[in-house]
Amino acid sequence: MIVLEPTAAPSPAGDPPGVDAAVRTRGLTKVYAGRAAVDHLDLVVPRGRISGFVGPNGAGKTTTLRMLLGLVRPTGGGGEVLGGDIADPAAYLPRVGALIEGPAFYPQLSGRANLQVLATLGGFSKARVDEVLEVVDLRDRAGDAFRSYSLGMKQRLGVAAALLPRPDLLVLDEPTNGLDPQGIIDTRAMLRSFREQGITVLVSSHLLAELEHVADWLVLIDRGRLAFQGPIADLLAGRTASLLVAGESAADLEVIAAVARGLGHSARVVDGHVHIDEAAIAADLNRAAMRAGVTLTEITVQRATLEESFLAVTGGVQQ
Amino acid sequence: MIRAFRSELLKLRRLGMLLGGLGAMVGFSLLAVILTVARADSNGRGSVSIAALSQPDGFASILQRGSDFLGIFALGVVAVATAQEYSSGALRNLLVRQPHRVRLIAGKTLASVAYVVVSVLIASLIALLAAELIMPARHVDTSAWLGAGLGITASTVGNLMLAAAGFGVFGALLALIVRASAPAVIIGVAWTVVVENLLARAWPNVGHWLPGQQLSAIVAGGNDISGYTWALGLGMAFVAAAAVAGSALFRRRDVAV
Repeated sequence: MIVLEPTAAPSPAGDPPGVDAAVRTRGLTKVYAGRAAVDHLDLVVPRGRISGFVGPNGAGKTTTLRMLLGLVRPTGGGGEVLGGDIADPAAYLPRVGALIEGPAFYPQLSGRANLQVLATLGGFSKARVDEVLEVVDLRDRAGDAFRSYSLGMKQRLGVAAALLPRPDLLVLDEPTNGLDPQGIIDTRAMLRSFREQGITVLVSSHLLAELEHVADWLVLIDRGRLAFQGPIADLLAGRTASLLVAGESAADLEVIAAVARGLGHSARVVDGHVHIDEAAIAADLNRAAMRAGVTLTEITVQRATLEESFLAVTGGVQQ
Repeated sequence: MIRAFRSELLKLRRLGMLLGGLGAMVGFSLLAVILTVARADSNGRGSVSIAALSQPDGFASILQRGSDFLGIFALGVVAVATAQEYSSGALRNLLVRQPHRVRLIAGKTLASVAYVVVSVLIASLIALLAAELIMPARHVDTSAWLGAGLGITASTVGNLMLAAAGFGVFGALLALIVRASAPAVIIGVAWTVVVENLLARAWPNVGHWLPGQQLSAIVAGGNDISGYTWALGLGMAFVAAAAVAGSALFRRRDVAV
């Protein structure tokens, strides 16, 4: 696991061991009106994997992605995308597909016409337009005006546009925003299929749970700074566990809490259970409770969710 | 730049844009013809005499009457086409596919300007056809328009197209500055119709240096404010400066929409 303190200096060593980076930044910074939206970010996105880019709203995710795509000029620092310097986005953007801040198209044009505008600009064939429409299952509605599309269809058209160049890197900013559960499941399946094709996927979300089931690698940022990056398994392994304990009567709960405190741990009574911050004391707690004349009727080990681990890392409230 | 040009034409060729833009230009040109016919009389006490309309430059004078509107319309069409990229958010998609920003904006602006220039040409030809059909009913002899006056008629249409191109570039610059359609059009119209005209009337020498006045003088083949050669030189210098300023602004500014 690679955890950087928010104030840590950029790593001079470069990529983490064993990681072939498709995207890497060093000290990447963007300041708007004296406020750092992105603050000395050392980001690594491994090649050929799905990387989740997670942070609360306003954490700097979209600004970072915009800098990687040449839309916003960094105030400081730099980086590489697919081996090209981010100061020269023309060197790598022909191999990058992107959906930034939701699908943005001409409302009066059909889905197909919108893609043809982009295909003509990028030098791609008309046949490629039909191919990507097929991939996102939009061929039947391709002739309809974009403004008549549902949110899910608009998102899929955005993904289709990103696929036009047969990208080596796919950058998707909140692709499940506003989607229904089936749409979210479909999007996850699509992301997995891209990975199977060898495409590097960088997908941002403000909800960690959305990426938990699909991402191999996580980058967590908070207030523009890197809070964590590494394999998702590392974040899961670091999860803390607590105990949920019940006794025979409500009066027993305060006794159990006092016993736990006597063992040196924090305990509080909530909704008919005692919550204790350490799971490893279960046996000791059981014995001590017996000595205090209380019989435990329930001992449950609770592992912190990934969301809670994220909050522990960022020290904040996820939105 | 060629790909950007072709891509923009794909956007502009949609039915609504064709009917809205070209249709409005044709409609106004026809209105100019009809109003001229309606107000023409034999003694010239109306806005124009039948004898004057029968001269070789008769049709050119009709076109010049509608030139201010066509110029403003050209400014509006290009401003809206350019600003729409910001309002729709489509600009970020375009820049990912064409990161060479100057090539992108040059290709897009050229396509929009080409669209308004061709629209002016079509509107002029339809107005000519309508005038040929209507004028004989008012005893206007139109034979000289395409006879001895063919050169005058053609050069006026050419000047009108040139001025429309200039207004279009000004529209693109305004859209790049304010990044929204309505403010760009309002500022362009207010400057051209109100501010420049007031300045030119109050201080004729100032009008000699104003961009919109030069483009109007080009359509007129020279007027009281500027001679044709001066207007052509200074007007095109303003257009070139606007193109350079717009490109520099577009190249440097962050795209946060």
